[in-house]
Amino acid sequence: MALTPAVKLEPVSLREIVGEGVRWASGTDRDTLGTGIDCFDRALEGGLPTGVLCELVAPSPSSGSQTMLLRLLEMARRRRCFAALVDGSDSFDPQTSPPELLEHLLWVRCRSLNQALQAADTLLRDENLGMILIDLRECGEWSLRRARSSVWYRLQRLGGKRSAWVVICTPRSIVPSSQIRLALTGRLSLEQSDDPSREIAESLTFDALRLRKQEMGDFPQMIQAG
Amino acid sequence: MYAVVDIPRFALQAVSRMEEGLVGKPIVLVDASLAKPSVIDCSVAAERLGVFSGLSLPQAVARCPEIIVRYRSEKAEASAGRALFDCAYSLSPQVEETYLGVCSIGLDGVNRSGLDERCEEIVFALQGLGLKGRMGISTTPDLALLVARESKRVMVVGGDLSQGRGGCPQRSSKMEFGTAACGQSHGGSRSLKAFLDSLSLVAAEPSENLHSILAQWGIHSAGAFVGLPREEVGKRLGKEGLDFWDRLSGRDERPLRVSALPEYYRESLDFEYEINVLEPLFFIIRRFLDSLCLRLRRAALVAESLDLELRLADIQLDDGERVESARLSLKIPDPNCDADALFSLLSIRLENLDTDSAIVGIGLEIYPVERSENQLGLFETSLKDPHRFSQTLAQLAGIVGPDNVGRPVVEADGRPDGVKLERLPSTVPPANSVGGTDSRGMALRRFRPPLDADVRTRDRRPVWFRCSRAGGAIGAFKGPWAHSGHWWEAGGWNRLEWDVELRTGGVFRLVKERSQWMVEGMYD
Repeated sequence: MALTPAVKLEPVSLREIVGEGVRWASGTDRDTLGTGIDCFDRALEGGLPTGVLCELVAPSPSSGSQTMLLRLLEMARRRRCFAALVDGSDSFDPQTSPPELLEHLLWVRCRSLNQALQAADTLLRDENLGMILIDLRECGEWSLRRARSSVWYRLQRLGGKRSAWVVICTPRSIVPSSQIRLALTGRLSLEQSDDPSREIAESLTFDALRLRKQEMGDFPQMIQAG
Repeated sequence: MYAVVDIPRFALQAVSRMEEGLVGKPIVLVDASLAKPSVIDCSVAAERLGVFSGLSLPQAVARCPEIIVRYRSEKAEASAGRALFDCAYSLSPQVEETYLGVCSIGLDGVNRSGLDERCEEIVFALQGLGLKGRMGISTTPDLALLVARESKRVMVVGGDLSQGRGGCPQRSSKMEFGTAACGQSHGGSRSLKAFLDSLSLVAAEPSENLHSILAQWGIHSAGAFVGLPREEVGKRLGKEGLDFWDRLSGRDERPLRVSALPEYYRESLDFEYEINVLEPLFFIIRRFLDSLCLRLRRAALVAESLDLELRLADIQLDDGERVESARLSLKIPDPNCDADALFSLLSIRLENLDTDSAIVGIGLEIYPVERSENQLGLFETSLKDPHRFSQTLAQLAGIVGPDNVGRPVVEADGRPDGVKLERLPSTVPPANSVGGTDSRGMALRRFRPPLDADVRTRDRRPVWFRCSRAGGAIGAFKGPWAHSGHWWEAGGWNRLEWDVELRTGGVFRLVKERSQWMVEGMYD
């Protein structure tokens, strides 16, 4: 009995299969949020894209993570979209935040990491929110490491379906599914305590630890039987 | 012209609408207040099996073993009566609650064109609320009631619905029998004569004495009786006969006792049995919301908040405490009167609710506000889908508690950590200056509650501190700043604050209050 030849598999893009008669929602359609912080925008080649899970690592005390979150809230306010802050350890201080940044903000005060992850999961399913900030900086590294990786991947998938900016602030590199991971490298000093908030934010420095451009790419590839 | 909405077997329908799956089943209604419970009403299915009103309960069960027995409920009847009134109110504000299950509506000033279609809508709306009703339209309230009882859904007798808007009451009420009412009019109305000819005398409810006399005369239909000369009827039957003749001929038009739309939005029900699963509870809540939202729409209001009370079975907990009820309050982010949206909000919250014992009663109250319709500005921030956002908020409230979600608002008195949470509005006006130069200083990451600290001082200045999160030698500091307020009353504060920077890095806020040192937060 003659054997049938082995099926030859070759990667073919969806564009080749479907043809050119359709309009493609490509990665370049993602909205990008410029923060005005040179180091941040340069690291991300223009700014923070929507639909991407960004992990902001703040390893040392007073590294400026709260300042960065406020800066992102300011940008969301300018873009006229509602924002949510999932406060994993109930540490956000509205008294030191400019009042105009609180008008469009939904503050979710959590008492545990589990609550914060559940709240984030719920918020990521709501298309009313243009920005979702998940602050887990004070949640404790031990409990963060115990969180199942499937939880992080679910958050990433939910974020990928949405045209929202999603940022998770952590004390260490923990989120395995983040497409972007930036680490705050500087430290705030007492000398800056009287400076304008804008200047303090612009003085922040970042290291890009991860930029998974392929995951932020255009369309899926398919394997077609030859 | 008048319309009458009639709900046959009202007491039975009022009870059965509060329970899922009773439609088409043999049900009997029993009055629990009687010493020997007897059947006061029964469903059509029960009638087919030989059950009728007046039987004792054992007799009814003997005839039909699978019969469902339910007690009469005043609260259920009141709730159904309000639903009926709300539906009737959609046609005209002149609504009389004639008696339980019957509402009479004055149609003066009501646009007659398409009136029968609007009546059909009312019957349909009643069906949505679990009440099978029927409507009759005629020249007097009493005739309209007789017409309603003979109709399947909507029947018009002796009126012309093509007249446009109804005029003065005299013009419509003075229609003489056999003249204006003759012939089929536009809108499918029957003539009064044809209707009365087909109406049996018993259905017109004469007194027993009158009925027996008329039966001896060979008069068995209302039409035959009205065909007699009025004067001769008066001579032979006296005032009672004349009144009956006037009622049937449409000559007697009594005024309506018009009721006002109730200004409370509350429904309540006590169950015959204990409920310990959510499904029957959801069914009743949905019924309540349908009725309440209908009433809100009639009054052009929207729901701002909900208050749900679940009355619990009387049990004593291990610690000796008795819990009588569980309450659930819900603020609606985008006030509306959409029963679907409100139900989904409530159901989400209820899924996370645990009660100590089974539920024996329920009360639902809606606090309404006037609807505010604003033109959105070009630069305002507004929610894309307020209903979806309401659901999200309800889910979040279930996860972190209702007091831990909302928009932060700083209290005006400057109290340390003085923040309250408000409802996030669905529309936010544009900010005049976002991130302007006015804002100065670093953002604080607050420790809640503040951490107790050991502090060493030199020349009244902190030089070293340690708390559970950080500690070490202080390299630089700013302060102290005295901060006090409301010290003349309980809950006041009087403290000194320092901003300190550790030599190893990290800027913290150090606070001394009543000789107690605390670390309030970290600048981040």
